[in-house]
Amino acid sequence: MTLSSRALYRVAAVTAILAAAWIFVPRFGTESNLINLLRQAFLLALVATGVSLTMLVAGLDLSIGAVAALSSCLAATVIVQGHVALGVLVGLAVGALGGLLNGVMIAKLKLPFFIMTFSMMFIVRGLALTYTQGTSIHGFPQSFTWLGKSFVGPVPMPVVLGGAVLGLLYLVLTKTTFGRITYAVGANAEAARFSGLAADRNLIRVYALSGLLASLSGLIYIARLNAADADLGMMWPLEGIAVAVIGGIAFSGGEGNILGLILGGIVMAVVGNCVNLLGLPARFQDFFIGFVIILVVLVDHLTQKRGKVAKSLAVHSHSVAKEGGP
Amino acid sequence: MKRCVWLGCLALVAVAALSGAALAAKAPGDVHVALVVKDLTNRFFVEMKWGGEAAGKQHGIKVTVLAPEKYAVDNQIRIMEDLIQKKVDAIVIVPIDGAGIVSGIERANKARIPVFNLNTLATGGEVIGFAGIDHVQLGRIQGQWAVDKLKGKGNVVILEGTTGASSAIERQQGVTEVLKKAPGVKVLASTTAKYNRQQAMKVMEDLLTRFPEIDMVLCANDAMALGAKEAIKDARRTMGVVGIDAIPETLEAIQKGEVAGTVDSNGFDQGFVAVDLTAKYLLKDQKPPKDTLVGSGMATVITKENALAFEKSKTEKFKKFGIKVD
Repeated sequence: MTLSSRALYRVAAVTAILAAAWIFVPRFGTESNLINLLRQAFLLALVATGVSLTMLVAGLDLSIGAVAALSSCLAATVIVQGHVALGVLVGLAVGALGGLLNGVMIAKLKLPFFIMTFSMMFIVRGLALTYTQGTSIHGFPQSFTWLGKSFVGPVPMPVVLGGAVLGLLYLVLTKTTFGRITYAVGANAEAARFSGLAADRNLIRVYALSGLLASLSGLIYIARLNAADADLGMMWPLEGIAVAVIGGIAFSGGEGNILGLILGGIVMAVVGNCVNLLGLPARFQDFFIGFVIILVVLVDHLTQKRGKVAKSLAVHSHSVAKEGGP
Repeated sequence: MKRCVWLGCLALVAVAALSGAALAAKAPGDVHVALVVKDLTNRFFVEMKWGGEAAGKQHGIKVTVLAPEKYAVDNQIRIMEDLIQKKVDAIVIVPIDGAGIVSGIERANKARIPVFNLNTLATGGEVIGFAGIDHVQLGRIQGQWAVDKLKGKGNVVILEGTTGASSAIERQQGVTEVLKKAPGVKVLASTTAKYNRQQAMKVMEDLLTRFPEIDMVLCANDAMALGAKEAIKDARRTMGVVGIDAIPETLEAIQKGEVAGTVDSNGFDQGFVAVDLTAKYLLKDQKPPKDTLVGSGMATVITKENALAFEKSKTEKFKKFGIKVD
């Protein structure tokens, strides 16, 4: 498949960006900066997991930031009372529930995913605002803040957690039936349905997982910030899409490697980091990121065109071979 | 004949007087004032809401407080349009953008609904009055305090508010105005963190890498001060952090010695005065003064020395008006 060559090209591009930053940006290569960068990159990659999974099934989850805000505020209330494990469970449960609701409405009631998750974003953000009344919940015990603040050797905990989650997702997507159905549904939902695959159930699971991952990201973020408020994750859907697209997840569904999010996260983090290190006005960050996205997708298109016929044939025979039987 | 004309005139005057009296004598319970603020996720505006509601209670009128879901002036205009449809008796508006709100105010003017302008000056349209603390003054107070604290010598970085927001521009203007007069104080960097805690933490991480020596961080609001403080703590560095708004979480952090100071912008009093003046205008036909500078003279820097006393006096004020603070 052409996927590996595309992945290779992405790794090369990111390496080039890193090398350029190393040479031209003062203090970029310092240990503390690289640690910051790694942490920011993996947090971004983690934020993008929900968006990416739903993109794989040719959908999108715009409610991730709001779901993260509500679930982490509810979790925070329990955590500041000293019940850390219970609080984390509450947070994850609320996230999964929000995602489940998205999934059911989209799969069973056939609501367009954009409308559903877009509305969900407003509803849940509204709930979070009502709940916090504009205040923050803060002062967590160390038994919780380690999620965002501690280190394993020199590696920040969010990197370890983010890496573990991405690794796990990679295995699930490539080695399990759930993963194969996810790609099949994304490539062609009707075909998947006709071939007897449980497409609806798969959709519901994917959205629930997206909600769960959003709440997990939220928990790690509030552990880092040592406070939770309803403002959390305002930009996450957009940042998540940027990371996913740069990471090679196709908007049309059924295509992309979840580990690509690490590359997407690195690119986004490096751009922001360099803008700050160079002392450029913050608006340059948005500007550059827009550029990078277009560039990545453009080069993708050009490289794809060449191998298009061969690839579509390969994908076709691949899916027929794997999903032909009941 | 002459007599008839006289009588006619008299009758006309009487009718006019009566109808005027009827207008002024609308029962307080039927009077509905809408207070439109910028953002109810921000504690400052929540306290402004409480102030408005307290003034409403005192006059026995109905007060509703609204804010747009997205921090954008056109959403505020949409809210104003709805309020005009609903035929509220007056609108108190805190514009996100003083120039952008003008068309909303003009629409209310056309519908003969009085508009009171609070906190951020609108550049056009007809308003019955303006009240509010001057953001430039808040910036000056913060900047002067920093200069004094540093004894006129040191390195500072500035975290600005949302690019283009008038409060951000004005606070920045006040700060830079003062810092310019202190040649010993060097501004290493001045960049936006969008009034957002998450963003501030990230930007601060990068700035800490870039500058090995920072003495003071001046933040245009408390949320950013709290985000910056967390980044500084994680990097095991020490420097002064000063915010604006005096939200409870900052007061706590000040008492713990994690944040050096904040400037109180008196959200409660601003909301109270605006609704109070509007109510007097509606109920007693008292024209408000053109400019009411709420407490700008008494805006103070809150530090470790006076934080506790400040918090106490505030709680007492809230108690007096029967406001429950979590």
